[in-house]
Amino acid sequence: MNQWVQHFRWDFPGGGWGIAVALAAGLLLIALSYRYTLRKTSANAKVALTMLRFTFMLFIIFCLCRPRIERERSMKSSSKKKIAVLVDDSGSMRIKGFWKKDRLQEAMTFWREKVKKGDDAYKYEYFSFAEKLNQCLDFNSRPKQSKIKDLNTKLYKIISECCNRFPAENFDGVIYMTDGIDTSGVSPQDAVNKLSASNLKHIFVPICTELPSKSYITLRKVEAGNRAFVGTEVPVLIMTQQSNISPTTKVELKVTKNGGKPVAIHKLRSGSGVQSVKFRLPIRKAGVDLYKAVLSLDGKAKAEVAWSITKSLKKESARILIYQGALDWGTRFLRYVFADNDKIKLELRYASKVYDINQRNASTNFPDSTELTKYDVVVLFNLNRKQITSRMERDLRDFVSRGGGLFFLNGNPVSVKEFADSPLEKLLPVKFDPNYNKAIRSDAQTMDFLHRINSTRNGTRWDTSFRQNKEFTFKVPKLKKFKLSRIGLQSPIFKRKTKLGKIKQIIPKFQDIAWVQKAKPGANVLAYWHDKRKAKKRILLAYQNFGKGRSMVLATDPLWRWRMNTSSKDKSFEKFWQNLFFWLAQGQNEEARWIIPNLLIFGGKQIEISFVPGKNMIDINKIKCHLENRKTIQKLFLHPGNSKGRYFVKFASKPNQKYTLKAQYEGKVIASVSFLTQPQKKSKMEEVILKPDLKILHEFATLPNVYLENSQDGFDIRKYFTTKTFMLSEKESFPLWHRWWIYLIIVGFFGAEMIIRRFFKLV
Amino acid sequence: MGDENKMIRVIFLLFALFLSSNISAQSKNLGMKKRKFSEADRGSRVSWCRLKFPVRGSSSRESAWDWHAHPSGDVKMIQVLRDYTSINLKQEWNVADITDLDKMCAFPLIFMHGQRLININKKAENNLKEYVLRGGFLLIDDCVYNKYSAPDLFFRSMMRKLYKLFPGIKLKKLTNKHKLFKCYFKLYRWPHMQGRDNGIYAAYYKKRLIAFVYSSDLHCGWVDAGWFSYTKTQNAYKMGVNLYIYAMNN
Repeated sequence: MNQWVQHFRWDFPGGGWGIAVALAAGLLLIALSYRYTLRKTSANAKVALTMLRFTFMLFIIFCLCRPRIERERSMKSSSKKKIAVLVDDSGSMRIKGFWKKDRLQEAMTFWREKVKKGDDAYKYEYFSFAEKLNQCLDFNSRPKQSKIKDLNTKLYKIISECCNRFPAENFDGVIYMTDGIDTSGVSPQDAVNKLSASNLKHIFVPICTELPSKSYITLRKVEAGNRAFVGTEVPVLIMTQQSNISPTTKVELKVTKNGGKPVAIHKLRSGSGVQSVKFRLPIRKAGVDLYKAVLSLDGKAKAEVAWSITKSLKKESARILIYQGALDWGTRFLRYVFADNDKIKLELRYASKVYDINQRNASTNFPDSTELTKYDVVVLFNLNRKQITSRMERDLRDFVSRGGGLFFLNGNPVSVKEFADSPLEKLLPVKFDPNYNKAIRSDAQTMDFLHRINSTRNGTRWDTSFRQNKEFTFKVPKLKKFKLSRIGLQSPIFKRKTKLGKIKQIIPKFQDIAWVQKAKPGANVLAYWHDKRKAKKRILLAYQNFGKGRSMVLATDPLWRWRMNTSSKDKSFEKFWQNLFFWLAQGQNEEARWIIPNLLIFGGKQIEISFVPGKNMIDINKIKCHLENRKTIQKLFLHPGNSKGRYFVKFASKPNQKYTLKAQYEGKVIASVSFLTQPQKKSKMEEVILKPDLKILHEFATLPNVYLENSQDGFDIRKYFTTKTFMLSEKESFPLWHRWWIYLIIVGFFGAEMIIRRFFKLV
Repeated sequence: MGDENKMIRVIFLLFALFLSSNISAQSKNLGMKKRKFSEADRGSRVSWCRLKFPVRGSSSRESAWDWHAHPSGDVKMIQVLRDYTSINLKQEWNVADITDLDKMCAFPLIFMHGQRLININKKAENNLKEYVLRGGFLLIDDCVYNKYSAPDLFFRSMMRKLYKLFPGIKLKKLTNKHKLFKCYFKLYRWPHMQGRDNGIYAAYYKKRLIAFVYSSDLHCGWVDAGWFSYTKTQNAYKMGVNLYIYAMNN
């Protein structure tokens, strides 16, 4: 609404009466003044002058009334709500129920009859979805059926799409009418994440028309690595989808190795929905093993998948650089940890003027970025901040992101505190404390003795008394124990095998500690020390993944006192350091491998499989790939992938075939994987999975801004989307006396009186 | 009169200056500028220790203990190590009894200094062996007993003891081309103080350096009581630093 109203307004004290009195008084005053004037004036002149003055006064009173035109405009505004209404148009929604009515019809009836849609303030846009989101005019008629029958429902993908698209199109909310079934096999996690981050209101209306359906079970996703080191475990994830499995039916997932005894058996629950099974396959011997997972109902195989795992020994050697900033006995002990171990090559380098002070060659300097690539682990040992240059920081950052291991070892609290808020700290898993723990660095008796012997030429005279005083005074300082965190207890760093083959926990001990303020988000604390005096947990050992590599901090002395305090037969100290350096070096242990995200590969399709050539592969053109199937061998070409260092091969597969994909470099197989293709995928999922998945809709409804409505009761749209009306008014004023001609008339009157007076010879 | 007084005062001042510079220079100036090491420049803390052990003399009247000669030499060496290197050596002189393994194991390096034949029982032998096997290091210096007839009694007895405790040990005599002579300070020859000059032996057990053994009484040089020339004393300090640092890093 937008209209103008115009009014004439004036003001005068006393209103109309006031004007009348003023005019009367003025007229009387003028008339009397001319009636009794002392000048000889003719009657005509008196009348003319009286009229002139009265007219003049009229104009003055007119101006004093402040005459004006006032215009008023009022506007009414109301905010409209734009709502997207989505109806599930997948195969399961079009199957006729017991009363010859399908879910789509029920959804439309619900929308037409049970939803109070509000007034003009609400604007609706209609969409139908199955695999894609399609806009339609309205729901007065059934949405046109998709050309392809039995479309899968990609509900989770559609939800994610709505969360991205609709805010940009200024929608305020989305109403979904769906049976909750998603037959695409993807995890709902992405949809949950998007919903929880969405500003829109999402209202789910479950359409639950009962449909006649059969029991059904299948594999939806299989994730497992195809390359592993001996002594580790391969995590396996298998997702299954089922419908109408009765509680009396035995559902089982069995995994066998090389056709032998089962290595893992998992019982699955009955009912409907998606289930995830996670387990770890232990890798004990080197070689290639073929694993097979069979999903069965009452012992009858319903689906199966096979894949191979190439098992190799861990990296045989690691090169470690210890870059030292101050002389420390830890060097000797660390050196001897690896003295009998050919697998680890230790190189010592010192910061300038720390060791070998007369020699100024390259060995005292930190290696450049090219040299750094030769090492697997770099240990910054007792470095102070002055010894770290910006070049070193840059090179170390590159080194770790490329997969190197960085180990910051310093137990000197004064030195460590200087690294608080330093550029190097950004690379490390912890934030150092700018305060530090002070420790006594001298003995009063010795200092007194030193002072005495330095003050005279013959200082030996105090030797006997000093020796007698000190002979029995030394007390062995008690070492502090590492307390392992939950992650630390599971970490291979703190584990060693006894002679009987049992796994034993290693608990290191230390004396000096540098204070760490806190671990950074994403970092893992492996060990801490309980500071009883300050009632605080002091972080000792922590790590974080950085790029492809790892960085680790040990804020204690190099633990040589622990070595000295344990029996020479106890090799815990040596094992701890070996474990730690091997573990840090694993970041660079990247070898050539095939990557298959989902081992359920359906035959009859073009397949793409990714290939990572590994760190040491220099000439990618020398890699030859081929696909083996029974007796045929197909040559494949590597194509560069989207991400750096990744390639892929493409080939057409046949259903129910066992394939072996191999990559060879100079005649040697560097990566190999076997897999079994599935029967050609038939889009029958919509016909077999018919039970509405209310569980997932209820899970969605636990999120903020997500609601669940009952399709039986209906709801009022205003409950979720309230509209507001605003009134805006505008006033304009145009004065009428404030005109040029008014002033001209007044001047004219003055001139006219002068003329009349002259005419009647009054002046 | 006034001029004479002035002259006496100047001479007295110069004499005092000479005396003070002589005292401090003898023990501290090793021919190179001292570096200022702050606490942040140093490694993890460590202390110096003298080992207490019994010996056997030439007669029954002699004391069974001569391990404790001149701790002032050790203390001055500690000061030199602190002044010239980044070692976080506590200014503290300690004594560990050879019968107390726990005390011995609190120190990564133990200084053994004696005049006569080492005379330790089985337990002490086991302690010494265990200390070395755990990673400890022995710095064995012979304090000269008799300059003319038996100058290296302790040295020879320790060599025998090492052979006995560590079967297969290799005692290698180091020449002045060895890294020990230039690992920190550059020295052109072995600084022999007194007694019989057997040079320096490095003891390797299972490829590990476990001890330095010598009979040159470097320790008496560290005492810096004017017994040796200025150069000899400085070289004794320098070699002391080199021995300590080489042991730490090898």
